[in-house]
Amino acid sequence: MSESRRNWRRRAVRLGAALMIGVGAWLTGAALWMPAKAALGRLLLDRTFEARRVAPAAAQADPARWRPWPSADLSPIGRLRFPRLGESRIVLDSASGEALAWGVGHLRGSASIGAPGLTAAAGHRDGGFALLEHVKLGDVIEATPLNGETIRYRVTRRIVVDSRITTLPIRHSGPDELVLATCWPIEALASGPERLLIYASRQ
Amino acid sequence: MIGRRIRTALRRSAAPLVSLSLLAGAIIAPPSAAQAQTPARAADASKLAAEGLVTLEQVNHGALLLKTDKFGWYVPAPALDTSIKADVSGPIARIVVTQKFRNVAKVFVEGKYVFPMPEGAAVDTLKMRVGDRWIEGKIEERKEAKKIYEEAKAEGKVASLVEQERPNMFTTSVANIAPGAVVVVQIEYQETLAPREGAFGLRLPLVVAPRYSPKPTPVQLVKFGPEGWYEAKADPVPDRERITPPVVDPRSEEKGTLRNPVDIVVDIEAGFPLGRIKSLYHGGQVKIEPRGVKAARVTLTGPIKADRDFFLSWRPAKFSDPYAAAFTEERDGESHYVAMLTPPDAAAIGDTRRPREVIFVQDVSGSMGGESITQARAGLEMALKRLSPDDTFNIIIFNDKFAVFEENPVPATPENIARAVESVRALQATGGTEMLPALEVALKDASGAADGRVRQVVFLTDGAVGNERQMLKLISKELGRNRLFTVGIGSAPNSYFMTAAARAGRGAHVFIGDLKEVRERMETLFTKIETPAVVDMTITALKDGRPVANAQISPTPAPDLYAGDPVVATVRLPAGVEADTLRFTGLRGDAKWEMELPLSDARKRPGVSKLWARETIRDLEALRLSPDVTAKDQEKIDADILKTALDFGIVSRLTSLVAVDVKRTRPADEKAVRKDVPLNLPAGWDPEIFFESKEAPVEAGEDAPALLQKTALTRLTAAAKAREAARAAKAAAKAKGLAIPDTGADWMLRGLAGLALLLFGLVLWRVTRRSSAA
Repeated sequence: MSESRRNWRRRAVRLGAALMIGVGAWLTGAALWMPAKAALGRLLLDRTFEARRVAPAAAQADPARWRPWPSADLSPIGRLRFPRLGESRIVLDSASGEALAWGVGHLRGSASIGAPGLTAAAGHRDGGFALLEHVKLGDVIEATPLNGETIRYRVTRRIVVDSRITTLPIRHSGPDELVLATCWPIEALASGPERLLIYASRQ
Repeated sequence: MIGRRIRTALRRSAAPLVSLSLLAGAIIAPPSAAQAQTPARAADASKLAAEGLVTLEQVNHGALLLKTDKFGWYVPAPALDTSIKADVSGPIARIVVTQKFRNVAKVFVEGKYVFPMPEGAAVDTLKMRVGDRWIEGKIEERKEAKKIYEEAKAEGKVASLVEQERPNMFTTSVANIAPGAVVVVQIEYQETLAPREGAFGLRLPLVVAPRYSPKPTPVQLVKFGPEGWYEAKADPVPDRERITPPVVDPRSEEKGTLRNPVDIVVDIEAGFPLGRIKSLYHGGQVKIEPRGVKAARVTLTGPIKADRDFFLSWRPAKFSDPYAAAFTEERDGESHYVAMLTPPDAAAIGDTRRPREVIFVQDVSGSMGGESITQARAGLEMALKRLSPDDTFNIIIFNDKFAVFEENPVPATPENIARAVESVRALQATGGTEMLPALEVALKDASGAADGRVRQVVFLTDGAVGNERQMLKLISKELGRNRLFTVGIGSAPNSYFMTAAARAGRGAHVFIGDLKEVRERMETLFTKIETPAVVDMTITALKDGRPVANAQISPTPAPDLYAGDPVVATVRLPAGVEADTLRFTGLRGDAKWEMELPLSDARKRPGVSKLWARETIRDLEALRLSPDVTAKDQEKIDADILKTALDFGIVSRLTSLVAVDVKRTRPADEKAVRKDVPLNLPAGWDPEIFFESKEAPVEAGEDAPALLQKTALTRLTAAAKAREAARAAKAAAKAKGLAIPDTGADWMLRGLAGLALLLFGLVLWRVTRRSSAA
């Protein structure tokens, strides 16, 4: 085999290797950015929520004033506390993909925290809501809205549903319930259609 | 050289580079994963909006939305208004149902509405109004009608199609309704209203209750026949998709929402001085205006929600016993008659009570949840207390499993009754509806005829199943000496199944629609069960006292006649043949029973021939399900049904009405979206049970099995119908609600893939470098 051809081939392989290194590094970085975002988000959101909660009513009402960071188009509207697990999560005003990357999102259309009816929130199984795996029947969940008393719920049901065929009822009256949703199984590598739903009733 | 320096660093250790690249990645990486899950990005949004989809935020309260495959986007379903005008003249009613489809979406829509019909209705007319044009529909063989409709749909013309899914369940499809436009579909039918227990009744069913359709058996039979090998697919409900329209979750609606509002006007020309007129389930919402002594008009004070049957009953001021009436129509030289009579009160017949073995079969499936199960419990308790100590009894309960009270029927001693009543009071309703195995066990007659008892099966259910035929087949095959009595429960019972099952089971049926009715209706049932029925009835047409040949009489075979039941017979006489009398003979107890009705003074009435056709088709359909009918016989029967339906212009399983506009409405470059009109959950149904998936609990199974534990019933067998069936039914019955978002960032998967790629690249880089050095 001629020297030049071998040389050419070696270069091609090296170029491929360099590309792989680049893409691999980018992917890994992007992936690690997710938990970093979740951790960072928790910190910033916690701070913003606390500040907003104690702010005067007029200032509190304007969501634009309560961006956790300048470019954010989401704002915290409540907090969930899991006393037995010693954990708490800030609830954002949207459950879009962008919002869920930062924290737990309230499903628009369901009752607001503290309002009568069914309140629903969703979070990533490999992010904000990984802890749902450890929530048991009978556990207490406390929800604090922006303004108003903290509400105590007790977990009544844990079910797994197929999200392709199941929807949550839109209900703004009747018994006050909280539904928390995340992907199931929690430890899966890739997401499937199954969702874990935790139902809790107001005490 | 920088390259060389990096290379050196790389050779020393991979770790620093990994961390470096991570840092770089962290800085440049956009949150791409998160964005991909956003319901609709700006670019998509305008496209979706152009397709007529809307998001939750864009919709006012009370609008009807249907989920699409695009997460978070919905298309509004056509809104539907129904008005019903019934003209009752004596015991015959002519009813016009007007369905107004209004397209509230911004795109062309094809609407489909599944609606109920009385099971004896002869549907003969379809008219469609587009703008200010009325278009007459025509009767066609079902396949042909479907083809005509599909062609018109493709050509962009407004078209409507009325099909029979079950004798009491029809669908209207309307193609190419323009955005904002209204298409009116008018359907007319005729029905006989024979008096029962001294009262005339008009039942206008307004909603199809969601049906449970059992899954096909997983076993695939391979059959060998003259055509070669073929697979016998045993789907008990081959048309499951056609009969499962979406159902609206009442909890998601504003209070007082009138979904699918209905307006009703009934004009009664009784033909006798009217006594009491009563609306059974809408008492507070009707206005009754007398029009002289013999007539009245009944109207609603306002539109009502289509979520339960409307039932109007009226009595003569003084009931003449027996009641008899006959009507006739000439058609193409042939004469048709409809004749009805109520036999004299049977209670006068002496006590011929024999000891009985009664098997109660109680439906405790999810559709019975709410008010229905309360009615059923009360009814069953009354029935149990009514038994005599020399009777024996057993109870079978079923949902997607079944359980029996005792292995074998036990004597109705006070202790046994007390124990049974206690179990019955604890019954809860949940789960699927697998009737077949329960009914099979109920019909199994272990003691045989030897013990001299009468064996009666009392079946309490709402009949919300899609496999009616499979059930009817089983009943006619396994009946033996059993007699099957059906008690239809709830606000929208499947009346076709109730009546057809009682007929196939040679028993009788009653309906309970309200808790207040339980006592009265169960009393009626007991009277039927305890008084000897007229059996082996034959109906003969006579001329001058001699039987007329060639008279086609329906029903054939005549059903057994129970106390309070009317006899309705339809007769067709070929041209040139005459008859003056209809004679009914049979046996009641051991005595001969005979009644005659003169035909000579029958009044002329248009539409009588259609009633004959409808009754004949009913007989043929029943015959088709009897056990000894071969595939070839079935073909012949189908041909008869088709011919009768086409000749008389009525809708049947094999014929449909279709109407097509002459003009094109939808431009060729616009698309149409297909949308089913969502139905109301029948009144009294428990949405918690119906909508909320209680399947696959991760912890604590307080579900179906508990049904059996909670009651004191001994468990015999659990039908091995998998969770699958129930889950599929739930899926079919899924309602509008909040979609649960995708909640996995899958960063670990991405990270692992990235790391693998990175490491592989590094190894490759190193290997090629070494070879270059060599």
